[in-house]
Amino acid sequence: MTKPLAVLIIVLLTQGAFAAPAKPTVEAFIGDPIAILDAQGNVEGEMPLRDAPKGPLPILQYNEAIDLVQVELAGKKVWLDTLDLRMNPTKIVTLSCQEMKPGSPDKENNSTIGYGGCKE
Amino acid sequence: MSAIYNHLRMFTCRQYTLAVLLLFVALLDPFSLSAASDSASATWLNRVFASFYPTAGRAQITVVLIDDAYLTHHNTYWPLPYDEQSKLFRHLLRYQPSGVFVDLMYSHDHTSADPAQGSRLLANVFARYQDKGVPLWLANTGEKATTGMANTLNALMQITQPALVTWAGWGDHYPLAVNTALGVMETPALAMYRRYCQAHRCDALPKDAEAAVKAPSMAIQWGARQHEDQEKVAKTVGCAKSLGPFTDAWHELTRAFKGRANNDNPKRCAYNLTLSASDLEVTGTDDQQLVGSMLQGRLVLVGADITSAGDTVNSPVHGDIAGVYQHAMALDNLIVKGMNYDSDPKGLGFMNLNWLDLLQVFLLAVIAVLKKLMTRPEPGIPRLYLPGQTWPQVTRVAGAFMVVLALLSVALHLAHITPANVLGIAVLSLALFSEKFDEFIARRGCLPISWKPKGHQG
Repeated sequence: MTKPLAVLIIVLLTQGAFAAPAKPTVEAFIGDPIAILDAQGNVEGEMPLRDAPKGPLPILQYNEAIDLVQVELAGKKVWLDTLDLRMNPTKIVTLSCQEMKPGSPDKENNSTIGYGGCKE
Repeated sequence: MSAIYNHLRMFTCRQYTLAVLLLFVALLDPFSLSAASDSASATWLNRVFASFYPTAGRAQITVVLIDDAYLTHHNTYWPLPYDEQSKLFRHLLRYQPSGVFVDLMYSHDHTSADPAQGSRLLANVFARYQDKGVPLWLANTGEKATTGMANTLNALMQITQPALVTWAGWGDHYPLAVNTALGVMETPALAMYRRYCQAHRCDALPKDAEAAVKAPSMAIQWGARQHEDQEKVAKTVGCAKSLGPFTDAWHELTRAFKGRANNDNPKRCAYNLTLSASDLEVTGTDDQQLVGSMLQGRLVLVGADITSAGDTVNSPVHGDIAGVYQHAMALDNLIVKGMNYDSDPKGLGFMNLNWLDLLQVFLLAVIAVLKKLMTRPEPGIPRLYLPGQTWPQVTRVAGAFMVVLALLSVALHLAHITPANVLGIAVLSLALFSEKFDEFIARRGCLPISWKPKGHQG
């Protein structure tokens, strides 16, 4: 009896660890106007920021390759540019602060970059 | 008349014949020795004047560089896939630049699955620039793709403007516009300068590309001082700092004298403010404000600094750097100097000569006449003007000639004319000392006096 009870308590306490990760949501709209796009990023229209819905919106699809998200606005599924949105969770990117490379007075490089496979 | 005759008798017939032969050599330039000397002189003067170059123009220009670090960080490859590029240019558009030139050649669609779709991703982003009123120029070769030559993909040409990036026959000068197979096309510097002139007053801007073809090509004056804001976005410890224009100029002079013995060339980083492509993606408010201050309202040039991608230019001040900087520096020259940029003087329509070439020949003639005036007169040849051949007198004459040469260089620089071959002429002027050196050796011999055997009568 003690053993099953202990297992149950452990599972209840660690429920968060086993839970499915929270789905990303659109926390707020920040662009003005907000571009309404199709799946390839073609502009289909614009929406002024004042007309954007308040409150979080669930993301239906996320095309990470071209950084577009699909949401439902006024009953219609549309694609939006993530740059016009504040997402949750959001990527944090800081300044890279790379080292500047000075020029080379007598540099030689007698090769050409080898092109790899194409993107499918 | 007799005075003129006496002057002409200063040289013998043999010497006049030699002078005519040397004149033809100087004008024809066999083996391009004179051209090589001209180039060395121009390079050195460019470095001397680089520290004096006004910095007013670079507040208008920013370079964004796609580099190896960007590819590594994004786990991607070169050429950059279209989806990666679409993200990059979307980020740039968000900062509302005044205009963007992309120094990348979109000549072959490298999406195997669906060629139309691949480049479509990028075209859609470029179309958004159009919608926002941000002009976008793409690198263009000026060649017809139908003849098998590479040029920008049609889908992208339709929504952007071309900027010519390949030309031939201009040496190391930068043309403003060239007649190409696709018609007259402007280079990126002039195309972007027109955009600058929409918001600023510009005098004598060529009315259109056809007028720009007639403008002389530019001898780019490079700048040396690093942008004061560069340290806010990059580490610059490896970049040589300017010690002040006159100190830098003095160091250039001493380095030039050392020649091959010189191992002290400063490692200079790019003159124009440079952002890494990664910097466009920052998310923090402060970082975005900083990057925004460097892009908003500016003319932005996007280029690549990828190992073995081959797009480099040799700057006399920096050495080999990414090719996009040539366009940035030419644009900077236009913003700072307007249409009074440095250029060669107009040609005389004969053998590619201009009046500066004739001026250089005249200076050589002046050296020959001065040399003759300071030489012991031959029997029957009258001795004119300069009595005595003491060291101070010869030094004064040579010094005066050098001062004239230096003033001429400054005058040409202020008049925006490419400099004369001052180094070559300065070296030749040392011939003024030849007789004094001969006398010195004849009097003392080649060995120091202390080495001579005892009892030797000097």
